[in-house]
Amino acid sequence: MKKLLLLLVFVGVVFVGCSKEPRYVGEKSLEDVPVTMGIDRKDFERAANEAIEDLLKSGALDRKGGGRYVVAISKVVNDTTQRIDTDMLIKKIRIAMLKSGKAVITTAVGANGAEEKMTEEVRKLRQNDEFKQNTIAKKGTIYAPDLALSGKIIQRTVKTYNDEQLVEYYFQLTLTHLESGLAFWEGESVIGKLGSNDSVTW
Amino acid sequence: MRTLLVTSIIFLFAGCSAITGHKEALNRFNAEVINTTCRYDFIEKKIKNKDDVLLWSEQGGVQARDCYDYNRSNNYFDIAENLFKYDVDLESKASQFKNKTSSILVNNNVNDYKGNVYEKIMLNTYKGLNYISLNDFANARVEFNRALDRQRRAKEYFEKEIEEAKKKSEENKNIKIAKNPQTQKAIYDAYAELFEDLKGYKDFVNPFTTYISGLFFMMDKDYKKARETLKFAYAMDKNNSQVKSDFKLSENFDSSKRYVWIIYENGLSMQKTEWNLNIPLFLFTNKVYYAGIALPTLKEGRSSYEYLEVEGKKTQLVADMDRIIKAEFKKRLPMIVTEALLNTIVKTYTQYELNKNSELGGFLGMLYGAMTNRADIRSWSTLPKNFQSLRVELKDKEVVTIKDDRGKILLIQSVKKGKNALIYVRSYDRREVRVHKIEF
Repeated sequence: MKKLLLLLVFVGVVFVGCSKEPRYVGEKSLEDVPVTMGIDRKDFERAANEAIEDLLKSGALDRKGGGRYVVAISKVVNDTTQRIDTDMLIKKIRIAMLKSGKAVITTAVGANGAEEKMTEEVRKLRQNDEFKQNTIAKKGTIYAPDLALSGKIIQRTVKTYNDEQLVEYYFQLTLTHLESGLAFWEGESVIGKLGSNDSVTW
Repeated sequence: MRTLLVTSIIFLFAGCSAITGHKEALNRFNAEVINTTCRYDFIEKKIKNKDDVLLWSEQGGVQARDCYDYNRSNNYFDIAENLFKYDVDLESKASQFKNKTSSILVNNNVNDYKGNVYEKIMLNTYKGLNYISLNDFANARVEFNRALDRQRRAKEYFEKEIEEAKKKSEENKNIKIAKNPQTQKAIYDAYAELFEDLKGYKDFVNPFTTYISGLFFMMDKDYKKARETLKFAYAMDKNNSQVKSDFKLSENFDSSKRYVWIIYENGLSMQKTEWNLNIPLFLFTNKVYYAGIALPTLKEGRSSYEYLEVEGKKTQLVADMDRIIKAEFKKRLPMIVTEALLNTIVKTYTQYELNKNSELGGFLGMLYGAMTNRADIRSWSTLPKNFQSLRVELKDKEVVTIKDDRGKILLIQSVKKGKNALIYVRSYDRREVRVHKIEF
């Protein structure tokens, strides 16, 4: 019986000792295990939730005298080794801003042109007799943005002393007041993962 | 007898590459690429038949890039990148054991191609360049970040790989015979000339990758990252005035000025070839046995135009691919030699034992040994000999005239008003050039 126990302990040590499955760095619980060394859905959710909480708490969206800010979505640079869609981060923040009732998002202006091309397209119908002219958007009705949201996702990868790989992702966001050029709010979430160094993180 | 049986089984499954090697396929493909044959049947067949997919998808990546089919090129490079991760980096212990056994009993030609570290770096560099040509700067950034991360990993990869290979070969019962100083000397003396003037780049980096990544960050108006990256490139070769000048430019980029960069990929890099050495083996006490051993070596590639010239200024060397290839080959050589020696020892012993039993058996053993005495000469064969660069200010000009190394006009390229340009020139030999132009 004693021998069997010893054997079990040995096998356990071998398996645990060799485990180089990815895991989070920091206060995350043991059950919460990342699937990859790259950025996954959970990471986006966590980064977005932290940013939203911080943004709403900061009061940067509380407009003096009431009313809502118009926010344009600017460039979010993916400076990592992962092929990711930065919209996965930004969309959640946009939804939260809209839900807060403190801001609206413009789709008529963006870093890579208008997100919603129809705003401009419908205005091209002004000289077209086939359309009821009084149903076409009037001149001077599009709202210019007050604020712009931009960001960057940065990756830092290093080898640890025990031949593992530490990868950190920095989700950085900036909300700029376009009239004054001042940053009203800045947020950063860091997600760290430890795992095998046998291959690359992507 | 048991060895012969195992060998025969492996041999049967491995097909004829154990005897023929891969020389013919590599030569045929190089001729196709140089003649700009934009037909992919050869590559597609190799991929479909799962015949060295890693090697042929890398080669396909170059072929498609040369044919300006950047999406196809990236698709091929994606296949190679995936295989580098799952079949090379994360190769299972069982597969490693199988490959090692085949190498010792047949030869390494029967195993799948595993590539070199410089290939991983170049693969992501080319993907980055392809994305620039596709005007997809977001994905280009990801690829250059990957290429730079691969450079970081290069040094530690070698340390680990060599340590593991050493440990594995030490378990072989014939290792003492293989490590005999006289046997080793006979081999390494033969390589002395090849490595005579070799000065590899520190930590196995490719300075071109760092340099072109820095230029890309400048094109993407990320001057901070451009500065950091070009600083590294400059540190790799402090005598390079072009890299120094680009580093200085990134410190204080004046967007009111217009520039054109000429990046020149010159010729064909060193290629692996096979040579046969006659070496002394001490299989039995006090008795020297001379055996022929086939090993890979490197032969010179070739230059196309030595340099290109714009307004009397010549392109300058940024990275010597031959130096990079040679340095990695030198690092891997002890592993290759040990494997080849163990292979020769096993075959010689088998032949000796068979000969003792019957003459026919001895003859068959000798035949098998001679037929499978083949070095693995596979490598990415379409890389250039070197990379060069030159930057000139455009002022208000809309045309750049590029001359060859004899002062003859080679290319006339237009650059739109108000734009900078990166003119990427690839030439395998003096008969042809390919140009990838990016305005930004």
